[in-house]
Parts: sequence; structure tokens; C-alpha cells
Amino acid sequence: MAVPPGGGPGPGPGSGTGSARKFPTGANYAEALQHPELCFRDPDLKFGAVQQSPVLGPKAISGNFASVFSVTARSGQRYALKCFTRDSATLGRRYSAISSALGGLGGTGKALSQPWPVGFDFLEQGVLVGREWYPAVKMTWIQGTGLIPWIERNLGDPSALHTLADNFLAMTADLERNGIAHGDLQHGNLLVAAGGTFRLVDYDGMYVPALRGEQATENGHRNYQSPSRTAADFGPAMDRFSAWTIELALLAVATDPGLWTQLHDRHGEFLILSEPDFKDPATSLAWPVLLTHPDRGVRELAGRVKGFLGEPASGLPPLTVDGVRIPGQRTGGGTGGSGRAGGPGAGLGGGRPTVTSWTPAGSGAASGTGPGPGPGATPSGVPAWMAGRLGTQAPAPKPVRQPAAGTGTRAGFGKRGTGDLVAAVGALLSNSTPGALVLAAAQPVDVFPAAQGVALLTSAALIGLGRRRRPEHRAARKRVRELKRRARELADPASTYERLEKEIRVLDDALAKDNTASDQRIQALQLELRDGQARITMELNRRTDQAKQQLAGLAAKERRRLEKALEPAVRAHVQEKLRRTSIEEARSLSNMGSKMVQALQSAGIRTAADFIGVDLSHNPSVVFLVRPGGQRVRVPGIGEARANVLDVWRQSLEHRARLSAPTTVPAAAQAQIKADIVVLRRTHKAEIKQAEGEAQQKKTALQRRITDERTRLTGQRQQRAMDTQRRRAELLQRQKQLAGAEVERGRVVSELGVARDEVWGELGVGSYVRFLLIGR
Amino acid sequence: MPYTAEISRTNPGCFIFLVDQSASMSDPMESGETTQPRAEVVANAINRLLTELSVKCAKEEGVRDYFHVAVIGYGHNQVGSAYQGVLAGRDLVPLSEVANNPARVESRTKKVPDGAGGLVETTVQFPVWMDPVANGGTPMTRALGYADTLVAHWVDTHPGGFPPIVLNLTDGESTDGDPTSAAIGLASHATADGPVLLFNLHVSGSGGAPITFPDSEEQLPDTYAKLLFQMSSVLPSHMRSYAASQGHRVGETTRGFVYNADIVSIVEFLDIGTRATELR
Repeated sequence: MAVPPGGGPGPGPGSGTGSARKFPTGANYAEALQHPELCFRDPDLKFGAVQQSPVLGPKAISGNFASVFSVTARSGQRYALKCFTRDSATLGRRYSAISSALGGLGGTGKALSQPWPVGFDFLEQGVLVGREWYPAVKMTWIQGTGLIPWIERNLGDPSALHTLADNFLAMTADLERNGIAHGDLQHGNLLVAAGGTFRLVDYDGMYVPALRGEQATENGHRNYQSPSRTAADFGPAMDRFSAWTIELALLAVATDPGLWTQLHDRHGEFLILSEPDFKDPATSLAWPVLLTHPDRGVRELAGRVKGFLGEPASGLPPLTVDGVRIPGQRTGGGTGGSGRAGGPGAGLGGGRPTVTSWTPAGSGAASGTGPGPGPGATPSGVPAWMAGRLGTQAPAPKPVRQPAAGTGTRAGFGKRGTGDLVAAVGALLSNSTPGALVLAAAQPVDVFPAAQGVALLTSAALIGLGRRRRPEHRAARKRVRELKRRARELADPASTYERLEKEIRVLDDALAKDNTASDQRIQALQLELRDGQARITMELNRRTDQAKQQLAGLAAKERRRLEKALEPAVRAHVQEKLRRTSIEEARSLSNMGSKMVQALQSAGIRTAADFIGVDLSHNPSVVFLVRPGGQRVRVPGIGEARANVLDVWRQSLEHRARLSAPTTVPAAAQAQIKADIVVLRRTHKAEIKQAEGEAQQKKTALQRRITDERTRLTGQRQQRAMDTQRRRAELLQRQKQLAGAEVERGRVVSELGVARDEVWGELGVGSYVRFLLIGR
Repeated sequence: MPYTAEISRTNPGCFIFLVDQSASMSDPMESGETTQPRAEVVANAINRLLTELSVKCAKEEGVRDYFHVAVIGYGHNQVGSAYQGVLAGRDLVPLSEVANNPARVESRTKKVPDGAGGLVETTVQFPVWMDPVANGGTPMTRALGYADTLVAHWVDTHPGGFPPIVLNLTDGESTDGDPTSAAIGLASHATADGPVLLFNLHVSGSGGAPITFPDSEEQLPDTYAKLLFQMSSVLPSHMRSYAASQGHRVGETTRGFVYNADIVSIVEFLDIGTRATELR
């Protein structure tokens, strides 16, 4: 991690002046790198092999300010070479400061949580393009996975995701502790290496204490920034917003991988939240999902991060373990034994990837101890937060006779209820009444035994019915059925195991299919919302464009109208001035004299107002003066030259008159114009406002429809997950009980005997009749 | 604020290049120390730009579809795709497909510095998607209409995205009528992020000084230049600042228009005109 001496602000070729020079483009570099022996000076690179793309030559990985190429030196060491596409005069100085700061990390007593810094050399003469050398940064190639693909690969492993979240938090703590900020924390700059530890790349925008007072050269990825971040936030706190949102994403997804499939867009340049969620949280679909999530930890952390949206970017608190833990929550690792005890941050879920608040009452699955089924047993179709819980089995039932429901301590019937009274009374009546009827009606004798038989049957049926309706009886029967089933299963444990396995698979597949369908539907809804909103905006723009143009033109319009309103007064003033100028005054003009003036007067032109111009268009020798009414008059003696002199005289008079003309519109007219403009302005504004109001209404309605649909889908999904989970737990339990089948079968058979005895003994007909009579 | 939409794979941008392939495009043009037919200069510039876009959108896993790109030629009795090879006949093609399917990759010789003060001749690989064509008239109105169809469909399916950018490179007057209303029609399509951008470049006939990115028509020599100016969109602010950073004098009313372009200004025009919002 050394910067060569030339890495300072020294005058590299072409960079001496400090003025921006045009840097090569990515394609320029790609072309130059076709000949490493010519374009490099560094020996590792000069004799190295540049990785090629399938078609276009040297393979680039491009960002906003640079393209990165992979070069493998002869030694086998692979490097990432960062070639800059935009000039920055301060590049060398910055990299030098960053290099010293990172080089001093991890010294005694303050070891780094993980080896996240990546070694680099700043090469002032990195690449020769055309005739010039350009700087480049040579880095050790990092074997790692981009954050997004890593998350996607580990969605089913909540424990790994939790570890990752812990490591991320620990890395930001390293940065904070050393007063360093990366400047562009985002998925593209976070590589995950073995063991789920981070490597942080791209230090172009990094702040280290030696750079205090500088401005940021970039503001980081738009999907990771506080809406309030500016270049002036360049400093040790500039990563905080991104850090919190990334930690939120990691913990949320670790807690409920379904959040990833719902909120991450397959091609999206973000994790689960993006710029629109920050800039316009009110129309975001993501926030409601997070803020109403069944897991308290997710809810609260999401609430905290959302609260940061209105705050100045550099005023946020640093990301800490305490910040992401729910108050009063158990610290993690203690009870779970899940293999991640002692992580720096317990995070959500108290260290175990479970969602306790989702536990259906009495399922008995939440109190487990094991780390979950082995990796092979985690089916891809089941959310990992559930997989973690499903392995936690309820203790196997002890082979003792379980009391029938409702009795408390002993088998037999409990308290008599309405149904029992009906049975008792019914049985009595059906036996006595027919006898009474027969006596009264003196029926033929042979009818009697038949009627008596029916009555007996009826009362037996009523008693039987009454007994069957007793909860004790029903529970006992159910128990017998259950035991029979288990005895059957235990008779052939292998095939039963397989059958259960298959049932679980079917269940998982069904859930996975359902989830995929609902993911697609949710993504479609997001698109529908985005496009729907865009269409409403387009429609709004179309509707308001004209009004906006009119509005913008109102000032000019007012000016035009004022000028127009002034015109009559100006004209009258000019007319008046011309009228007051007797044609006599033209006598002194060159080549005029009193004879001409007389001729003009006799042609009716007595003042300067009596003609408005000359007309030479007919014939050069025939010259007309034009009267105000448009008639043309010929004045003897006035040829072309004199006519022109007269015309110039008149124009100069008019010009002078205009200078003294009134310049302000009469107050009344002015007020009228202003009032008209005000009305127009109001009208256009109202049009715009109405259109905007309507657009807003449409947007709100769209938003509501989509949100409702989304809430419904989410609810459905949770319900389905819970149902499946319950069914699955049941099946797993049965599978587990197949272990030690021989012994278990004996136990079950004997228990079955006991249960049967109970059905026919303590809960038998005799007992029931006695119970009907004496209540015991 | 218009022209700020994120460009991503879910929100891709759209470039449509309209390339004049009329007979006059075979006239020579200065190109470094030699001269080349205009059609060749323009084809080279477009091919280079396609490489440029591909590299700019290249990531670890390959080229990402941040853009869909059409190259439409217009000349002798014909307006249609100018792609050759696998892509022949296709209009808007996702960038990854463009990147993976040049018609061929040529080996071109080039003199480069040997690092020791001298020059050495090497070959460089040059991908080619379109070849120069020069034939017949200049049906610019039809070409704009063709772009109109592509654009109409695009904005309908990408209502929230960055508006399509249409770059028209021509060397002569339209031979199928006044293109003004077709241009107005084309630029009246809009997404929520703003109207379609139409930029025009007029390739030099004379070799006079190019007029790049003018902000009024006063400095333009003739009515034809003024017509093209009026047909061109005002540069959005991020392109303006990029143009300024490249040494151009720009203002609020600067338009995406180059008149009498030489080889350098063709490259600049394509570079500035295809600066959509920042890519990540």
C-alpha cells in the first residue's frame, strides 16, 4: 500500500497547470490496453496479461469516473487497474493521503475487525494513451463476490446473513474509529470474501483526516444517499446514512428473506431501498412493508432509518450495535447455540433467525434449542426465518395416557350440559310417550311391540348421539384415530418417512410457487405504480404546458398592452404638434421658398399634419404627396427632391414630437390592463392548480389501490407461510417420531389399547347413561 | 426537474442515431492527414461510439442493458436499420446484444508512441456494426417519421424513464419536404422526465470552421442552418455542464446542434449528445 514519491502533487506530464484536461474514455483505455507492452511502464503490468471480453477486447468494469481492467502479472499475481476517465487535479494528492491513512490502520491496540482495506499503488504514469501518460491505481485483485449476488446466494442462510450484517457494522465502526469515511458505500464497492468478511474498494471519494476542508468530488450512489447530502458534507460522517440503510437491508433480509424478493428489483442498483424511497417516502411501497413488518426489530430499525430522512446528512449518529438492537432485547448468542455467539452485534432477532411475533399460539415451535435442521434440510422454498424454527421440535409426548379434554384430572365425563339434558329427556320421553298414546287411542295390540321397539331405538340413538357430542368422547376418539395412524406409520417406518418427506416437499414446492407468484405480482405492482405515476405526470405536463407558457409570457403581454394603450395618446400628441407647425416653417428648407409654400397651401397642406408622406411609385417625374386620408395630391413645383425634403422635415418633426409625448398610460387604463393581467394570471394558475390537484388525486388513488393490493398480498403471503409452517412442523414431528420405531410402536399400540378402553369404558354408553342420571 | 431520471436496467435509456446515407455523403472530408468520404467518417464515429457505450456499461458479468440503441440509415429510397451482420434489420437493440454482435471485428493498423519517444505501427481491433453507404436522396422527413414511431412506442412502454435521445447526422437538405413539422412532432413525445431530445449535426461540406452548440441562430450563415437549429432541442443542464467541462461555451439556450462539423466535432457531438444521467 505504498504511494510512489511521484504520487504527490508534483508536475506529472500534462498535469502541471492544474486545469482540467480531457481524459481518455473507457474505450480509449480498452484500445490502449490491447498492447500492454506499449501502454504500461509498471513491469507487473507491462509484461502482464490483460483479461479479455468475448468480443470487444480488454474487458472493462466501468463506473462513473473510471474503468477497471484485470491484469495478471507474470508472477501470477492478479491486479485490478483503475483507469480514470475524468480529470481530477487532486487525484494524486488524495490517493497519497488515503494511502498513508489506510497504511496506519490496524496498528497496535486497535486491530481491524476484518481485513477490509485493499492495497493499492497510485501510478502517476499509469497508462499511455495517444501521446500522454495518465494516472492509474493498481490494486491487488480481490477474490470476492459482489454484495448483491452474495445476498442472493445466501438468502436461505439467515445465520450467514446475520454474520454479514455484524461484519458490516464492525467495518463501519473501524472507519468511524479512525475518522475515515468511504464516501460511496454501496453494493458495488462492497465485496464479500471468504467467511462473510468485507473488502471495501474504490477509494476515489474517501475522506481521511488529512483531507479535512476539501470538497467531495462525488456524492455517492443515488440509491444510498440522504436526500440532503451535498459536496459540503465531505467528512467523517458522510457514510452514516448509507451505513444505516445497508445495515437495515442486511438485518431485514436476514430476518425475513421474503423482504428481499419483495423489495429488491432483479436488475435494480440497490438493496431494498432506493432513491425514490428517500426522496418521496410518502409514495414508497417499501416503507409500509418494513414499518408494519411482523418482526419488531425490522419495524423499529426501519422506523429509525426513516426518521433520518429529514435530518442533515452529517448530523446522523454513527451506526452502532446499540443502535440496531431493540431496547430490552436479549443479547444474542446466549440461548441459541446457533454457532454465531459472540458476534460483535446481536442485531435483530436476538441472535437467532426467528420471528417470534409470528408464532401461532400453542404451536410449541418457538421454544426450541437446536440450530435448525442441517443445511441439507433447509428447503429452498421455505423462508429461512422459518427453516430456523422448524427444526426446533416440541418435546416428544410421553407414553402416558393423556387426560381427555375438559376433565382436568380423570378420564370420564365432566359436567352435564344442555346437550346431555336433551339426550336424557328425549330418551325418557321416547320410551314413555308412545305407551301413553297407545293406551289413549286403544290401538290394536299388535302395534304396541313395534312402537315400543322404535321408541327404544330412538332413545338408544339419542343416548348415542349425546355421548358422541360430548367433548370428552370426541377427544378420545380423535386420539384413537391418531394412535391408529401412528401405529400404521410405525409398522413401516421407512416408507412412511419417505411419504412424509414427499408431503413436506410438496408443501414446500407449493409455498415456493405461491411465493414466486406473489413476488412477481408485487414486482408487477411496483412497476404499475411507477409507470402509472409517470403517466399521470406526463398527462399533467401536457395539460399544463400551454398554461405555463402563457404564464411565462404574461410580463411581455402586459408590456405590449401598455404600449398599445399609450399609442392613441402619443398619436394625438404628435398630431397636435404637427398641426401646430405651420407649413410656413417649411419655407426655410433648402430649395423651398414662399412660392412653394403657397402652392402647398393652395393644395390644402397648411400644417405639417396635412400630409403623411410622399408617393414616388408611379413615375419618377410625377410626385404625389399623401394626405392623412390616403388621397394623393400633386402639388405644382414639388418634384422628387422637394418632396423628399418635405418628408424628411415632417419625419424629424414627428420624431421630436414623440420625444415629448406622454410616457405613462392614464391611470385608469393602466389599472384596467393590470387587472386584466391579474385575471389572466389567476386563470392560468387556477388551470394549472386544478390540473395538479386532479393529478394528485389520481396519484393518491393509484397509490392507495396499489398499497391496498400490496398489503393484501403481504397478508396472504404471511398467512400462507404460517399455515405451511404449521403443517410442516407437524409432518417433521411425525417424521422425527419414526426414530426408534420398534419401541415406539409397542408404546403406541399399548397406548391405543388404553385409549380404546377409555372410549368403551369410562366413556362408554353405560358410563354415559349413569352420567346422565347422576351427573358423574 | 426534467432529465434527471435514473438510467438503470429497469429504467433503460434510448438512443436513436439517424444517419444520412445520401449520395453526397461520398464527398471527401479531411480526416487527420488524409481525406475520407464523409460516410466513412460518420460510420467510424458511430462504430466507435457503440464500442464506447458498451465499455461504459460494462460490469463484472458483462455489458448491462442500460441503453437500447437504434442506428437508422436514410438514403436512396430507403429508411431503415443500418446495422449489419446478426443485427441487420433490427431497430432498437439492447446494448448487451449490440456489444456481443458486431458485424465483424477489423484489425486496423495504427501508429502509437513506443514509450521511448518514437512511433511504432501496431494493429488494433476495431468492431464494426455499420458500413458507410452513400446513395440517392436525403429523405430526412421520413427518417424523422421513422424515429417518431420508435420513440412513440418507447415512451409508451417507459413512461417514467429518461426521454429518448435522437441524434441526426446529415450533410444536406431534406429531399422529401420540409422536415420541421416531423421534427416538432418527434420532439413533442415526452416521458414524465421530459420531452424527447433531438440533436442535429451537419457534416461539413466546405471545410470552414464548425459552429458547435450555438445558443442563437444569429451566428448561423443560412436558412438551412437556421432550420436545423430550430429543429434541435436545448441541451439539458447535465449535458450543458458536461459540454462546458469539455471547453464549450454554453448558456441556458444552447442547443444540441453542430453546423459544418469536422471529424473532431462529430466525435464531440456524439459524446455530449449521449451523456444521459450519470451511470453507476
